[in-house]
Amino acid sequence: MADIAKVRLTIDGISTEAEKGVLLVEAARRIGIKIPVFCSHSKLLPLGACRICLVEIEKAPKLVTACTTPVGEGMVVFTRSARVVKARQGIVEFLLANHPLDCPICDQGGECELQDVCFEFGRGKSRFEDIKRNFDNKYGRIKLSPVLSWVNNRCIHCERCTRVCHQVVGEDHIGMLNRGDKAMISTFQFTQMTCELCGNCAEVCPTGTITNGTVKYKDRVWNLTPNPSVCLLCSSSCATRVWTDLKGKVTRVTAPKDEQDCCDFLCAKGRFSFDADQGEQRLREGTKITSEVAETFQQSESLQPTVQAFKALAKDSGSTAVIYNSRIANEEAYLVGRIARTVLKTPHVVPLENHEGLTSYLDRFSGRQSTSKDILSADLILLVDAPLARETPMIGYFVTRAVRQKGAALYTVGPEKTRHSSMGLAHHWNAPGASKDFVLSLIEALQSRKSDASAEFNKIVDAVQGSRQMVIIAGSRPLAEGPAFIRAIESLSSKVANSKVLMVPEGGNTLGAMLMAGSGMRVPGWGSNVSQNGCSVQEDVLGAIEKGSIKNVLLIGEDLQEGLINWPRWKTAFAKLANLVVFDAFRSELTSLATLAVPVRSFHEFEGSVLSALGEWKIARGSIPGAVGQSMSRLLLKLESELGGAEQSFASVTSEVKKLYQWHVSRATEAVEDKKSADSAGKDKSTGGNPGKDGVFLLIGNDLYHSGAMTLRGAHLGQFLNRSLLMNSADAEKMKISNDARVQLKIGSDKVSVAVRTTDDIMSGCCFLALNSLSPDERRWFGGIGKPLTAVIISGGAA
Amino acid sequence: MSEPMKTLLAPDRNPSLEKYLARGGYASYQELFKKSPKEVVDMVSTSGLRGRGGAGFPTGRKWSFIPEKSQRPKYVVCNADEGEPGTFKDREILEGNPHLLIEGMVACGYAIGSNQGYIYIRGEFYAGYLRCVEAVKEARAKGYLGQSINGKFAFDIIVHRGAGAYICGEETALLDSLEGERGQPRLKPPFPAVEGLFRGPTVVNNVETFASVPLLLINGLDWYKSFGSPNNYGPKLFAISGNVTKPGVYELPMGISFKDFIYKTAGGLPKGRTLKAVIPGGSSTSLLLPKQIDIPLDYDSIAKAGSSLGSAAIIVIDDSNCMVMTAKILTEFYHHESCGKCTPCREGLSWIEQIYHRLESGQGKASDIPLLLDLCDQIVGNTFCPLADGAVPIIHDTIIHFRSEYEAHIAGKCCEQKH
Repeated sequence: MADIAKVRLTIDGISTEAEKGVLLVEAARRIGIKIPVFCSHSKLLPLGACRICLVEIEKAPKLVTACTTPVGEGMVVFTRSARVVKARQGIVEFLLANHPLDCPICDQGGECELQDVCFEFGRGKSRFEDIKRNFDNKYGRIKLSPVLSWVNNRCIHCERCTRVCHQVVGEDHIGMLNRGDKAMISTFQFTQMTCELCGNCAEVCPTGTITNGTVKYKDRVWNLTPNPSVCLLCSSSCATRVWTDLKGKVTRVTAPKDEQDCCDFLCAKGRFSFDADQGEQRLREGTKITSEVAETFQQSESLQPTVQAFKALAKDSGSTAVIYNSRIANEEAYLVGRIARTVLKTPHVVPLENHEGLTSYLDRFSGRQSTSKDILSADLILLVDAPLARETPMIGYFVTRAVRQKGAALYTVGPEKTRHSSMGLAHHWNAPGASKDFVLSLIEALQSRKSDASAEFNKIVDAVQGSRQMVIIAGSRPLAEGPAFIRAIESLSSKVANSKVLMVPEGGNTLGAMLMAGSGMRVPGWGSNVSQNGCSVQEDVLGAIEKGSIKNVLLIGEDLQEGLINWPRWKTAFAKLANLVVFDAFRSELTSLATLAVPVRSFHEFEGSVLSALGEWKIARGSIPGAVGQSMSRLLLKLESELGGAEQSFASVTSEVKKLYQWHVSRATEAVEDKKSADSAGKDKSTGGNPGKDGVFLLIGNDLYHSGAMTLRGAHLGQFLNRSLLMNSADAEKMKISNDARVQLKIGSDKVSVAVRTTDDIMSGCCFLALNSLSPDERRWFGGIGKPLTAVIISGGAA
Repeated sequence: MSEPMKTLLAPDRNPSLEKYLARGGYASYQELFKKSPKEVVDMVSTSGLRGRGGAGFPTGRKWSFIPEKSQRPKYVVCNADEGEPGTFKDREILEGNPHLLIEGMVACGYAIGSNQGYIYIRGEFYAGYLRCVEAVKEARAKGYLGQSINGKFAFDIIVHRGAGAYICGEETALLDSLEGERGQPRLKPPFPAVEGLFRGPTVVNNVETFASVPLLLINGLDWYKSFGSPNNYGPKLFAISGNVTKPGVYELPMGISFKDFIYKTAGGLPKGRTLKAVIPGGSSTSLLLPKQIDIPLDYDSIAKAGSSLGSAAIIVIDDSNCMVMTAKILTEFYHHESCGKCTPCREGLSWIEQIYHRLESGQGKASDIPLLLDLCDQIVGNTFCPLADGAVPIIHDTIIHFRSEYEAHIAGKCCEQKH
């Protein structure tokens, strides 16, 4: 990286140095001088509207705003001169003139930037004796979102929320209405909000205008303690702060306000789902079935029953399958993998998330995938069938910022137009399951243009050829196309200088759990006498149970039943087992079938490290006082020593986990070196079907606000579920199906009744249905995200 | 061939192309395309033409800021959002002589290498809008606009109506509004010459400024400089309103006597009235007292007297007016037009308006006078754009020069004796 020129300047008599382009407010902050700000925010473009940051610069006729003025050579800045102090007091007085004195009942009280600045920089009293502005009279109390509380009278018009909405969320849902002192933040015609990143406007609001409505009037912020944690609801795996009250109960979740690029915002799932594990469905007590009688036990007593159960599992080596899902920490996955190999001596260590291409991706891209910094500095971003808003909103956040703040060019490809298509330069329709074909055609076109290509496709080819730094992001559906897709995209990346690849798998700690548990890959030092040829996907295990070669199953994770594809079949299979041991945070039909069900901590109570899809290492402290029981890693460690292993501390597991990751990264790097000579891009085209011929392609994914069944358990997000079939408008017109009409979907021999919503954002011949909206019995036909699926639509539900 | 065109105003106020050509219209193209673009910019610079919108910035210099080569298209934008109280000179050109504006914009487009112009016209000027649209259509039909003007230059104009916001007269707010955004001033730099409309280099000039260019091209530098004094050359439109017997728009050379203009040209004050104060350049400029108006009417002389020629909109105030109410009416205007972006303007002006309403209804307090002065002080220079800076002079000046009237209001004695 080239050195950035530095300039020298003086602030309040202190001589300092800063890179060219740094704003005064930042230069001052670095040397410990606080300049108050409202409209300025480190992740937003400068605005200069609130004027609270006015400072004096020698020889400048007027005061200038420190949040918009870059440092200059030889600049002499005063932030506490008489002129500045008076101007600031004036601004504070103006801001408070119309601000209601309702701090005692305002939820922002205690962490209100307006309070802090007024206290520190204000005059202490106001000369305003006239009538305060009141928006409520005219507009009533409009509820703009069920999860946000909105009090326009408290607004100081800093426009952080509207800018977040435009530059960060990319939704443009809220904006300023009217002008002058009647200006107010609102949605257009007061429509309700639908942002996947909902709540960030509340996060950045310096006053109590927009606050988290789910915790309104419930607590005071000075009674709350922030606990560093990680959200496992998707593979962005964002760092969070989980706030607990005096009784140790979780009261809210916010983004950590650190100066790291990833950490100022959260998506709606991460922010509002915290009530999901507080309900009746939480597994709080363990159960053990002994001679047909169920005994319950406390989590703290779970060691002895668990030891007995594991002894039973270990008896019959090779006949036990260990299944985990991605809502576990790296340390937990590592211990699960180790116990499976060394104690249970079984090769069957299987992840619940079905990603054909994931092992291949990890082999080639571990530690080399695009980071958030790469996305932010890219000049071209290509989204290949990646509905980021639904799958990983916070990776979508980086893409939005790159486009809206840094001017990156964006192109989208796939069977669906997503939120990002609307801010992109072109969308190329590409059939589901044919992402590899698109990548291969793109590679071909880079060498010689095809005459029959669409205009959008050619635009993408031009953009790739002209790019200086490209990032290609693929969603979970292309990943399900398997290793051939990974080879194709690797080949594309190797042909474009300075390009990076990012795949977004389903699940939470998907990458970390898979690497640490060592599924489908050899991990050094673990039971070399255990065969490597175990089951690799859940269907294999199901088949083996039905055949009788697997007699015991250990399931570890959270919300496991949700991940077992074709639950009715599993249920029958489980009845054949000798032992079914389940570690879960939630009660379900599965835990009631288990011979031993052990309650464990939930997705934000857990302890350990997480590897995000962007390759970042996040730490959850597991410090929530009201968490259910002890950490699963510690339980597994005790269990291991009880069963004859050496005693080991949690800290040493953490360092082993880090070493193991480094080993995987160096292996992936070596693989790249090896491959330079031989280009292995598969030339065989996918067998993408012909949409519209024998019915429609049914695209399955998460609902916008949901991640598995987990988020449905909470009242906050539970109210948002959208059970409707998104259908191409032209297709619907041809079939004479109107918007909102009820239809029956025939999939194989199963039928599902749904309402239709017509849209132009989905490819002709395709439909989209949210998996979360269906009950386990309704989705027996579901074979995993990305698996090709054909459905016949029967109009009117008359059949 | 008729006489060369010499005036900004059409004597017959007929906007048609036929009449315009009869008056010698579009003759400047002959001169324009003989010159290189740089020669045109140089000529405008040498003429000393200053922006007629209010700030008086040298037009040639503004044009010279436009980079010769640009990745993005360059634009010529005419600011026809004339909305300041007392200002109505551009309207005369828009309604009575729109082809002159088109001719001037083509000259600018040629000089800076732009092929696209916009006329951003005030929403309330509906007649002017219709006439501009008609004029553009006529000019296009006859090849005065379009793909091939004089066989060598392409330039077209889009006429865009504003939605009735004074702030959109501020050039960057105008550009935002033109792009379809909310009309609020932008952060500068970058200035429009670097990154303006749709992020391309853009010249934004007032209607009269563009209209002056064809006259300069046709009649030459010597003719142009025969009006006025150094740094203040050219013929100029003056709008006079208020307490004079012949209000209206007058085209006069710069530098004529201010006093003569009021008392002779504009017919003087109504019988029996005496002069109380004059606002010389639109409602945003400082008051001049009767003793201060014995000066030439040009940018520099008025600046020396402590005010500004601004948009050359002279408002004459006689002794029938209450100065508190004058300030109140203008404050109501600025409060209504504040865009709400920055704190001092949004909050300050609404507060000041409330104080004036109290003064009007006899609820004033002695402390209101120092409070008003202090609020003015808290606003001026601290705002994002000059709108609020323009709202302050009338408040400040009426308190300084006519404090007794404020005190009378506070004491409950309004100004009825003056009517």
